[in-house]
Amino acid sequence: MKNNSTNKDKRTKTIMIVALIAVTILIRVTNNNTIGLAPVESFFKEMLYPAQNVTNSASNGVVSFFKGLVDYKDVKEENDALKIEIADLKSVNSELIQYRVENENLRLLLNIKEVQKDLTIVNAEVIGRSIKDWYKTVTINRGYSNGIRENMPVVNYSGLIGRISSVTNSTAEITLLTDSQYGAITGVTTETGYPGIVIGDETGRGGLQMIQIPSSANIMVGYEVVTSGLGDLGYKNIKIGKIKEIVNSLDGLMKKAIIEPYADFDDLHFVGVIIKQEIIKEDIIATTSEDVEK
Amino acid sequence: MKIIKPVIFFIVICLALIIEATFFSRLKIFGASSNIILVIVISMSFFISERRAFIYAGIAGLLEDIFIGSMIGSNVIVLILTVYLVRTYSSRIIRENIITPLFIIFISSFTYYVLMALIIFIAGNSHLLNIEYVQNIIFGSIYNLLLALVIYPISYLSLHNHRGAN
Repeated sequence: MKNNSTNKDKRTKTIMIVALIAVTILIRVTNNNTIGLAPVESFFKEMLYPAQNVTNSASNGVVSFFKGLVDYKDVKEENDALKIEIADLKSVNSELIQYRVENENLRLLLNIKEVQKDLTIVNAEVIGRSIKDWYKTVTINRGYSNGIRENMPVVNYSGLIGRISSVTNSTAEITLLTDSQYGAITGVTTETGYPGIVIGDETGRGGLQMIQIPSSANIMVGYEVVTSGLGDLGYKNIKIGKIKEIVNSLDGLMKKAIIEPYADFDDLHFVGVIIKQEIIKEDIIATTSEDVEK
Repeated sequence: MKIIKPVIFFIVICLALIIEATFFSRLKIFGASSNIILVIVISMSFFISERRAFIYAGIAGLLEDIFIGSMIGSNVIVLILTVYLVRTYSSRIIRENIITPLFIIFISSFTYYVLMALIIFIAGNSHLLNIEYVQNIIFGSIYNLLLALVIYPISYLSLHNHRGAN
């Protein structure tokens, strides 16, 4: 009787050890699987999608209500500031239209036909965020059936926010730029065109940094950082943020730039997935600002 | 009956995952998120048999892992270990007195984050163990304690009569 019990204990322990080893291997194997979804994961996410969509709408209402109560005092101030900003942007916009006319006329003079790079964007709503803070991901309500594929860049009105890391038929997961490993992209400074790798900072608090910069590189605080178009992202000139601090490494060979991102990664509601960037060849010769506006 | 209970548990965990992803992920306390699955599993483990508590912890961990889609198996191990520690060191608690279970839920949250840090380190993702993670250990545990104020009484009311039933 005692022997039977000891055997049973031994067998249970063996099963537990084998299971532990198997799960450890599984963790290691799925650890690097950052792009794409296994069929089981895809099925599970697809199954939860309708309920997630409904719950997100309901939680939007609840969160907005509480946020409205807390932020009530600031709303008027924000409204006044936005009115001033709109007026400024209108004047900048008319200035840009003039530049565009000038630019197109100069292109015509130089016989350059490719005048515009047209972006095809799929708009989507954020319906979920990562349930673990250490993963910087959000889920959107558009997926494979809407033309979304892995590695496509995702933007909002402020600038680049990340890239698509996995897709199901009706949802997609975005790995945010702030992810300190998988969010990495190549960026350049607009002012000097100096390249570097833009990645989330080590604190995990949602900051960005540009690394791999030699100490002699010509970059300064206030420079704007945009995507370079190099690497697997492949899209140029998408805004990322502004350099707010430059930190030299201890050995003095390299430095890194701390970036203030344009996008607020904690407040994402609607985003756009750039699914295509194609070069449009224009036949119409624009000569005045009215022509361009048309 | 034996078939229905796991199905209900499956639905509860799925709903908890959705609520966590859509609602609680936006309500952070000092930058830390809650872990409803952990609170549910620990709260339930006080009222069900040890074997069933392990099975439920495994199912909940697996669903959470599939939902996250990375390091599959990590939550399975950590949740089962946490339940094991709770069952081992809290076998004589008075379940009717809410203070003790809440204290155990707080300690088990702390244990969960420490064990998860170990798994993250073993998996070679030590870059995830940053200041934010440390912040999560402290404030996340407090957040879970607040959630337990609601979830534990619900577990008590719905499960204490079934204690010992397999």
